[in-house]
Amino acid sequence: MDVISCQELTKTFGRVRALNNITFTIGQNRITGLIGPNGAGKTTLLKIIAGFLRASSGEVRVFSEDPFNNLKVAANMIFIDDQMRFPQSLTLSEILASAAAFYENWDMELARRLFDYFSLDPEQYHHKLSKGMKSTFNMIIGLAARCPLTIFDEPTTGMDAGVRKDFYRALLRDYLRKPRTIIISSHLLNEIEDILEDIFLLSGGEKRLQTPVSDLKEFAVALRGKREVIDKLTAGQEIYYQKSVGKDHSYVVIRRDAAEGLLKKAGRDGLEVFPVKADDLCVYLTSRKRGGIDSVFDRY
Amino acid sequence: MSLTDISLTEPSLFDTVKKQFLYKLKGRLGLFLAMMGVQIMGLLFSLSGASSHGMGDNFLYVSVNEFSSDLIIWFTFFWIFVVAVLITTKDYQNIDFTFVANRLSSHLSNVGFLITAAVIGGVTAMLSGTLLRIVIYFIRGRYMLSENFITDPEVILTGIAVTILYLLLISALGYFCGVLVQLSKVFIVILPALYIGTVDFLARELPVIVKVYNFIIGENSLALLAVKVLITTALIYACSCVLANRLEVR
Repeated sequence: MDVISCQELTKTFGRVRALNNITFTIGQNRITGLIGPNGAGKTTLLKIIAGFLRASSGEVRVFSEDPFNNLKVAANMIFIDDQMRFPQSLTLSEILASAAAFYENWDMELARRLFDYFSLDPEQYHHKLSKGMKSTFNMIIGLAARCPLTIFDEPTTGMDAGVRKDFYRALLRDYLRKPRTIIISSHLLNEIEDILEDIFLLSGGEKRLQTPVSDLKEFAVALRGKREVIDKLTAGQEIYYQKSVGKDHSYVVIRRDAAEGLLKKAGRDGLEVFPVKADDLCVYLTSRKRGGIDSVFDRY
Repeated sequence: MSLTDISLTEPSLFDTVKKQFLYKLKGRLGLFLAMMGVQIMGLLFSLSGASSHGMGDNFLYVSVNEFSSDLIIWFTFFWIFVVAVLITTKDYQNIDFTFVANRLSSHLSNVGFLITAAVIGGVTAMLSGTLLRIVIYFIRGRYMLSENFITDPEVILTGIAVTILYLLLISALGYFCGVLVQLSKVFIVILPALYIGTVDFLARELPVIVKVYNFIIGENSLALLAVKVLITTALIYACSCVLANRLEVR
């Protein structure tokens, strides 16, 4: 069963096209990483799924219903980000008690244990927490709510490296105990790669790739060799990334299946073949310009 | 589906509104503290007396000071208007949508909250009139307090009822204004202009507005006033809900 399905989803804000013609589905009980650079449309997409924003065109279904302004979707979904607001007069423990009233599957035991572990003070107020502590608290709410659809929009903002690691570990452990559909957005893959099953790449409001993480590792391959050889070989191919190495060598990243055919056809001609790390590939696939930041300086 | 799967919940609107209402009462206690502050301020201003006049000749001078709790009630009106506008703002909205909510449940729980605020505001504003008399008796004891020192309970109850009704109406208007501003920031300019225009100019040109005003404010029978105010309030709230039902949040 698909928990989320989008058909030709487009979202515009005035003249800005935040999401362009996106079609995808996300299956039940999978952990998906929504990866993309800043301004790719990650938050917009997640807020449409959460029912906060309305799609400009196209169809969105969450639990087979239109999520916008939908109480059923709201009750079965939690959206965690660093913009979460709580009443200023409530202490953290009072906020937990309120959350427990709203979410049927709320696990107070888990919330309390995480609370202790991260040494949060139950009598503290949310607006007095530091950025990282706020994120930690929000994360606890997100986990303890045990919602069939749990959305974390850049959840680790401000967390230090240790807490980030703990968070991902806690997420994975709790997911294994109570499987649910989880989406985590991040502009970097490397941190979350280990806990993800699927990856959804978004850039410039368009879907670039949606694939199991295991496939992503096999998706592309890098070639290095003399520039003219490489250029001839890869003519007409989709090149994900290209940079010059030394005086007359270049380094390109192309699809693995394309590369295999090419290599067989052309012989090796002194080319070196490398695997491409998944997080590097994500950066290549979502970067604005081929050649990366170097292209700004190369012909300067 | 495996056994450990989390099952989908089917929320009811009423249940959600109830939870949100309780959450809001707890979370917005500060607004009631503000009300107390405003009423105490009204009380302090009232201590100097609403009006005073005196007369006499060489042998005898009579001075009359009138005290009234009107100011406290006016301050409470102002308070509930500000509260009604305030809870439509993005910040308060975000708090709603942190947990389970849709537009309708958010509005209905806000309406519940404002009704509660009107009742509490109405009762305290009227009773602070009694408090005012007691304070004046003790600190300005040389005055002879003649009329209305001990008010008939029936009068107090009627006063409370009327104050609550006005507070309901004002809160509904405030909420409506707030919703309009959420729809478009243009209303921040239009609404005050419209208000000044209506009071000052339009009322002279368009007798309809005077009629509407008299229809509601000029009612002498409590029962009729209640019916008129409640229907008007309900209509304004309904408009607010319909207008804001398609708003995007968070």
